[in-house]
Amino acid sequence: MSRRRKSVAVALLLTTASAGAAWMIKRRQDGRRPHVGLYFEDGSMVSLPDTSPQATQLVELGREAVAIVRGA
Amino acid sequence: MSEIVPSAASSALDELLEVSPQVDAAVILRRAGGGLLASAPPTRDRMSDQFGATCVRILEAAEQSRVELGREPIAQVEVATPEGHVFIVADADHVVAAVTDADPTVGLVFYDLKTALRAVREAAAQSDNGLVVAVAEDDSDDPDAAIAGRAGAKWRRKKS
Repeated sequence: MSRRRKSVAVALLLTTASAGAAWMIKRRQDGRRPHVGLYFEDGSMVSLPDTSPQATQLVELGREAVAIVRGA
Repeated sequence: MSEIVPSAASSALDELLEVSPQVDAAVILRRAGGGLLASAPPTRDRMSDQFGATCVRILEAAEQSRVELGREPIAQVEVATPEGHVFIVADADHVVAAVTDADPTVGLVFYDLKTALRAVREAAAQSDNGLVVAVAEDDSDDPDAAIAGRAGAKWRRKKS
């Protein structure tokens, strides 16, 4: 393999690895962001936008519930 | 009401905490009125009452959102916060709620909560089908005592 091809392969590998790592970090951060999922009897699910007043209220209650359990 | 349902609820929560290490605490409530049926870990009664009351409020808020969205009845709720997640699974009669760490396996926790809810539902159905009646043994001279079941009362399951 020529030197030039080797460099391209290494660059591609580094780019792919960086993109993968960034995707994984973002996914993990998203998972840690407050969110609300409502699951209905018909099997469907709605994720409330975290800016909606309903989600804000539910997240606040969720924090309260977690604090009660952690504080006990 | 017989002790079958609270006992089954308590066993279901013991099992839940055993199989699901992500769950820090859990309660089982009656849907109507939010009365506490069982909680785990068992030594934190005050926490259980407060946690149960907050879960009822979460379910009410979720129900309000459901009405606004014009959707089917709610079966499950997940509220994720950076400090931990609150999971609620409900049917028409009972509610099972749990708090987990901040990075739970969502599907697995819901599965375990639904298993606990099913155990309580089956115990409630069993309790409804086989009404437990107190039968006073007729070995006392005191008719009032016999009626009250104080004279060696036995518990017998009525055949449905």
